[in-house]
Amino acid sequence: MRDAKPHNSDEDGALVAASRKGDLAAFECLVRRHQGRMLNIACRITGIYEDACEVVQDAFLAAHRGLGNFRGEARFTTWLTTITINLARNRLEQLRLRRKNEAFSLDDPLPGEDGDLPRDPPDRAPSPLDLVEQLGVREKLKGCIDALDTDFREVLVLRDLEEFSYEEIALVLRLHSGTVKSRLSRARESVKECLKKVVGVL
Amino acid sequence: MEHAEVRKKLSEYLDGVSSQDERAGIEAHLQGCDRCNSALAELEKTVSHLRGLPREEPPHWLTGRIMARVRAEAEKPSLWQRLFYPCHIKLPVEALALVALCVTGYYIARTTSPTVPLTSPQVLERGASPQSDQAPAKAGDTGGPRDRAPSVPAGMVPGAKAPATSERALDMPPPAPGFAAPPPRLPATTPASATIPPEPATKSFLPSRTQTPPPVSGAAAPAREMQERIRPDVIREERDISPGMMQRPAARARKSMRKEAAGEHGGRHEAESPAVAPRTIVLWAASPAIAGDEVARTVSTMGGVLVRREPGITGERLSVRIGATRFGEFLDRLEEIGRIAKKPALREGGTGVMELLVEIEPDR
Repeated sequence: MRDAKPHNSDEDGALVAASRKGDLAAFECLVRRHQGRMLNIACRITGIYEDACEVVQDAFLAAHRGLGNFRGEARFTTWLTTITINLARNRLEQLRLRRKNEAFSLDDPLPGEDGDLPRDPPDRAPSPLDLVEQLGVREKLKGCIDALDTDFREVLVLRDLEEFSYEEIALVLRLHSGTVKSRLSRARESVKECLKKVVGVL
Repeated sequence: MEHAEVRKKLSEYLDGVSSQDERAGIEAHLQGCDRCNSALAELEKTVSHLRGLPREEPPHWLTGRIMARVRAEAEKPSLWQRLFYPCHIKLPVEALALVALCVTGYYIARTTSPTVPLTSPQVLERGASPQSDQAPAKAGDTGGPRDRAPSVPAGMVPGAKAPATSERALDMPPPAPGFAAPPPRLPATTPASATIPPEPATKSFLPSRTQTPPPVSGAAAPAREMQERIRPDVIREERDISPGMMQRPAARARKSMRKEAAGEHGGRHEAESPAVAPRTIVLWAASPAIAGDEVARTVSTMGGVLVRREPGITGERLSVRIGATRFGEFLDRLEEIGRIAKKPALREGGTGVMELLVEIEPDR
């Protein structure tokens, strides 16, 4: 179910150049090419599908505004991902503050038989081929991802869910490559231990 | 390699990004360690589960909504265009407005500039107290209690911070050669080398208070003019007055002058904008433009005023005024918008209105 490998950066370059000249059709191409990936990143960071959709809209709007400043030294994907992650972080902070002030939040995880499960997005239907057991593991895996600290979650999402390279992750998150490696290692260990607790033997 | 070190490096080994030496050390260890082999297998399964997670699909309306917002923003004319287009209409209008503004500013400056009264020696007969001396001048004055204009002779411009009273004139030293225009608030800072002007004990010393100097703009010209008028009298009368007689009343007059000037200065200052220099808050946000909009909205909802918003080199700068009692709340709202990198030392600003400078920079 992974997407095809990331889009050709040369094609992105041509579309970006055209967009900078005011070609909205070219920018729309960029939106269609990258919105899915950005949505998944935003979703994994904020944990809420609807908020992730708003983050993606804001990210593309900010990217369009900032096209004049995009010098093309980095890939468009890297630059766009940086914007998306920053906006997603901000949104996550807002959500947390809001939850602190609310006695009961509709965003709280639902209680389930095996512990708390994250709420599904309303338009997402499980695959008919998924076994109940598989579905259970996936939901629990999402819960384990959500339980990570934001810094570790970001690295895990970019590497294991979106298949960014270590170098790209370092650029997006503005980290040293050594930091990326150590955070990813700790994030994977945390998810592994969490999964073992809720699922049993892997 | 030791267990702990191998465990730390398993993730990189799995992704094939270990160095050659590390890879050799790990593989050598794995050949003889079941626990580490088991840990590697579990890590592999975990990553496999992660990569097998189904992806969220974007809703069908997402592209359309994004492009609608992008188009709306693209069609909005830029600030430059809003200010200057169409050229043949806006440029002449703006040029005229600028000229009108300059002329108005010039006339305001002229009407509010301080002038120095030229007092007659007879005025000084009424004693050293500023109030008693000023009483006769009140006729015809129009200023309020805070305004020192009532204390100056008719013809003095209200609101002037000039050394308008005769007592101030006392402290005017005979100007040294090359003495440039003094500030409106006069000595207090009388140069030590200056001769204290003669005390009005002789009653015939200083120019008449009832003489009204021609209004001039700026403090410099009237002060210089006053000096020039006084100088001949000072020089003439100095011979006749003993220093002992001069000093005590002059000192009292200086003291009252200082009090007067301080009151006036404080009063004027109160009338102006808040004395506190604006405090700077540095905010990091992914998109300074969006964050700037949110800050502006926040200021508006909190009943504050967005004084100015201008683009910085990499971000945005917003000059805002909010009630000091809401400062803490404002900081909380800012933390929802971005990350505060620098905030003023004091959390609460007391009462009144606070001037803040919010600098929004791209998040690092």
